[in-house]
Amino acid sequence: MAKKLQKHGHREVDYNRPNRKWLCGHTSCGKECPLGPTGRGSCQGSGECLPIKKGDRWNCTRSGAQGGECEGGPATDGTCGCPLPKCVPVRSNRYLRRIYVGAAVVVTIGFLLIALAGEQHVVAVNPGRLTTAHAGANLSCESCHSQGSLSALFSLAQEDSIHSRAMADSRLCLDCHGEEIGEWSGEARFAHGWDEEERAAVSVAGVEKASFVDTPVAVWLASKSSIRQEGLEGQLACSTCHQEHHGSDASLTVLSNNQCQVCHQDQFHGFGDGHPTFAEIGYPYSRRTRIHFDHETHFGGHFNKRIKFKEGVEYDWPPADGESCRVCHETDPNGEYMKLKGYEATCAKCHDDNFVRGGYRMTLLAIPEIETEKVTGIWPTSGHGLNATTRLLLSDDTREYLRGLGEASSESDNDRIKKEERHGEIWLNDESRREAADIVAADLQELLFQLWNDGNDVLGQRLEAAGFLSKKDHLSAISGIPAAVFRELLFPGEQDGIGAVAFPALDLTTLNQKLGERDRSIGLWPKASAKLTPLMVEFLSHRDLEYALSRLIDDEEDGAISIAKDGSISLEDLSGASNAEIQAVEAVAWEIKTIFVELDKKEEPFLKRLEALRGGILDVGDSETVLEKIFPSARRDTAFLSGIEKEVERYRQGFDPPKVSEGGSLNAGSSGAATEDDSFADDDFGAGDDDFGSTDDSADDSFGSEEKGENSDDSFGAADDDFAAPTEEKVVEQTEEKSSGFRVFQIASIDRWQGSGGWAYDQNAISYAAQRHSDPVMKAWIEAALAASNSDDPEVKADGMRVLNHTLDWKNGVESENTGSCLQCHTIDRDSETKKLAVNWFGAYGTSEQSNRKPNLTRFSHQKHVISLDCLHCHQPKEDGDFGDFFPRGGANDASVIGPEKYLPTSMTPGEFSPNFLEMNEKALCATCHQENLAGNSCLQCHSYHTLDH
Amino acid sequence: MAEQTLKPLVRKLPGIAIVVSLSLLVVGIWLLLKTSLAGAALYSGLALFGLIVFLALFSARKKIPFIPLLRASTWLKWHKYLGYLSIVLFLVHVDFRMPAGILETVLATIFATVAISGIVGLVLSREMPKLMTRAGETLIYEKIPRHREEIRESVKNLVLESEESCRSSTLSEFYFEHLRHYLEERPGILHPFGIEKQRTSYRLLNELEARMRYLSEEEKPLAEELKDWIETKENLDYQASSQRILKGWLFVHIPLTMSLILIGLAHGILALIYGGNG
Repeated sequence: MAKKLQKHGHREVDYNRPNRKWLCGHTSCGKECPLGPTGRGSCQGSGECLPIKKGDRWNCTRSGAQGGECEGGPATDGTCGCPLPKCVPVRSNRYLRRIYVGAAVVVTIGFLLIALAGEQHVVAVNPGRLTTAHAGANLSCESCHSQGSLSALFSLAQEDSIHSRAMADSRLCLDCHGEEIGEWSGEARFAHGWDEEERAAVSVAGVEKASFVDTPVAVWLASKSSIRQEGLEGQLACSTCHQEHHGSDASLTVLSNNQCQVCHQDQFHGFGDGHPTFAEIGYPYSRRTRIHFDHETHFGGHFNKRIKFKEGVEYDWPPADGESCRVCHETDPNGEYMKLKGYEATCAKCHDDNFVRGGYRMTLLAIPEIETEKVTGIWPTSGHGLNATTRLLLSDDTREYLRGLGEASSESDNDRIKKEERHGEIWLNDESRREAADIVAADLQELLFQLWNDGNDVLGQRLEAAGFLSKKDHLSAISGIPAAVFRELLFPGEQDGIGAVAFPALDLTTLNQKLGERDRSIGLWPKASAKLTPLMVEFLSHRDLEYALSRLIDDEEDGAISIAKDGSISLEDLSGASNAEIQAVEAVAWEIKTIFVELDKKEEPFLKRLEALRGGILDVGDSETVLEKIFPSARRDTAFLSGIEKEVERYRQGFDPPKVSEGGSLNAGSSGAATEDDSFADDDFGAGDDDFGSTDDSADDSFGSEEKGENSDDSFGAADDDFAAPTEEKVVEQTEEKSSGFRVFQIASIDRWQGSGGWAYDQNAISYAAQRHSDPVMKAWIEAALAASNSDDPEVKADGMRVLNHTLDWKNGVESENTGSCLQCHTIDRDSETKKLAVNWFGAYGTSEQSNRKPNLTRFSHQKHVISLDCLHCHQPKEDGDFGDFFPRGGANDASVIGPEKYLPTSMTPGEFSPNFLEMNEKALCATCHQENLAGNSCLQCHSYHTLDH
Repeated sequence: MAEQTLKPLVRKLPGIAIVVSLSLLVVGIWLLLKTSLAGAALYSGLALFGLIVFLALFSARKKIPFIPLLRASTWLKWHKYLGYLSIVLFLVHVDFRMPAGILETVLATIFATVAISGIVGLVLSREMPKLMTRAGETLIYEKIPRHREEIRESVKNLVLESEESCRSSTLSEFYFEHLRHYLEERPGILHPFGIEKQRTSYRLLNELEARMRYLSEEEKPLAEELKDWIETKENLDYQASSQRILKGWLFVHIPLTMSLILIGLAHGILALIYGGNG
């Protein structure tokens, strides 16, 4: 039996001091000295006790535990009588532990210094490997972390400071991910990339629904607690959801369903339990389709009657299976959306004929029918009113005047009333609008002059002045209109030779008489009946003859010549002409002869000008002269042309023209140059014996007369008898028929333009026919009209509405050949808030070539689903649908709306819609498979957080 | 019997309830934070660091007993509760994932060591005293060297006495051959966990028992007393080893706690500085 060792009497037990740092080195052998070591670990003992002196005597103080007082007692000097050898003190347990703690602190600080201040500190402080994508991007800490400082720590205790740091770091994320997420200065920092207003808009629906019963407890508590990031104006740092440094295989996009829901007001337990129905959130038919395509009518009728898109596919409504869907629809490259295959692959099979026929047109400028005395020339009988687009081209004053124009006094026919109401097309041939007609006619004629001279830049300027074309891009809407078209509008081809290139009729008698006084003459000149046409004036004005022309047309000069209202100049009576005018006429006459020589020789100056006026479409072949080209029905008169050619050549060389002898006969000039041309009279003007030089209009052996037999059809008759010799004072007499051969401009090629689409002139109007689907000019014009309609300026807006109504012709729709046909399929939406109009050029998911797909929070892979499911499994056709009723076709049903807008489509609100297909029941369709342990029911399976990232 | 088994459990029930309740509260708050994307790691980290510092104050509290800051036993009780809670807090802070960075791995390892040493210490503190009491007389740790000397001295005197009185060297031979070294040696740290039959004392007692037949009648009482001293030495070794163990775990727990606080502080600073993105 073990013995008891522990003694409990105070005399038997020493008092231990384990708190001391040092213990006596003899402790291990049970003989520790009573003094113990010093505080610094030095032995201070020499015996078993410390004797004390009482009176003169030293007494032993050995404790009872050590045997009590020793027999010998202390020495006389007070030293212990039982000496102990010196010891080496040992550390106490507590002191040892303290040393361990100190060592741990030192080692730890050393470790931290090495880790944080060493060269490999990045490795040491890196909390974990980056994901593969980020690790491969060669990023440094600063790439993702804004510079941190210790001073920042003092403010980090506040939540907003921590958040501020995270937000600052998030900016760095966008250095690389800006394209996916958006600009930080924009909405990228907000939840879903939506600012407060947008979030509020989508939050309203769920406000009343969130309750404790419908909500997972954790979500409910989290959303109701103050823990949430309130007061941050909805801003979220990227790191809120994307946690890095969790390894290369970690997912940066993992979020639980509860985490998704905590910010949402509409909370629920799962996809199959409380998730909003597709109908509630308006999916997939949240709005009217952008392209008006009625599946029911096409499947049920058109396809079977017109064409079968794919062999072996039966079309019927409702369809037997989804095979026919894929004829027009295909998945996008991501496999998500079933997009249209595009116009060419689908609609073009039936609808492209209209483009080939040039069937889709819009009118730009139409000459209105006006009875007025205020304009020069003859105003065409067009049958048009002043339409909305032509109104835009008038001057500001005129447009302002027309805005205040009252109603017509006479009862016009209903069609005109409707056009005036609907399209703003003003019928000017009304007694009450006589003044308006005069103003419009004068304004329009001035416009046409400008257009002819300056080309269609004037159109752009006028349209911009009207606020119709606010963007240069829209100028493409009116590009490519040949200036000749404007000239033809101004001077219709059949109007008395106004637009002809021709020798004008000259008062040769007077002219040569006056020139003869100075020993000069005009030389060869055919008989003509036309005036100096505006077109000829136009040509001459480009040939350094401005001074001469100004003499002719300047009314302030004393003389008899002046420009007529139609822009022509009559030179048939020069009897009252001043000397200056005679000199001017002489210069003009020689220049005209030069022009015809150039025409014959295809010389550049005239040809270029001519081509410019013809809009660059004049094609002069190598084997033909210009004359033959532009006078296809006339033969070239070699003798006449060679005659004037020689005259012009000598004229250019400074040769004095033939003198007019008494009686009007021409003689060679007196100059030295003339002497060497003595043959002039004989050779050049004497080619014929009876054709030239005479002022006798009665000469019956005229140029090309019937009596000339086989030469009767020639323009200038045979070489040997067409021109009278000057000496014989004969003048070639031209018939009206032959003179008409000098008319240059007939817009005969208009038909060719129409055939291939493009700008066209027809019925006193310039119109444009779409050349193909997606015609850029037509599209630009419609966009311009819409832009004007969306203007904040009420007048511009009204003009835009008129143009829309006019050019789009809502009422008639497809029957019309107006641009309205474009909008038979491409719908127009009116934004419910801004009230702005916009055309849907593409379907919701675009075509294979282009896409206007907008960012969406929901994604759905059609590709994965159509593998095992038929299209009709989800998209169940609706029989006897009213799909077409929700597509605007015109007609006013809103009496409260006045003005041109009244006649816009009845409904352009895309939310009002009845699809061709039934709404989906997601519980029956989706939740069957999409459960946690089957196909999954994570929010992120179908929803994206960022709206721009895919 | 059943009541005796249930009593300790009933006594521990409030503590268990407190620990479980606090743990559930911590996990619940963490879930709320995590669900609300409101910085669960940040808040749990701050709470964990504060908790560790508070737990470390227990050691300081023991060094300043004169300040009336509750009783040490109360501190110890809450040290245990909050120690368990810190483990839960640590797990939610690391999102139940193994840390990957060097600093974080070191920190987690130290935390785990401190936590495990704490638990082991707690278990030892609870269980070792029972074993020590069962083993024999409990001794003051600081007195053990003296007791060892007493035993050695007593046995030596006993052997000398037997040699003188019995004129026999059997016991003295036994002493010099086997016993002297045993009485002077210190036990290993794992002595209490050793198998009894493998202990030196067991072997010596058997040896002495085997020599009993060669002893005279006078020697036998002395041999019996010698046996008692061997058993006493065995108990002394047991007590000494047990107390070394009871004091030894603190050599791991407390120093590493300081390391934990320092590295935790560095981790917190880094996390706050770089915590914006990740």
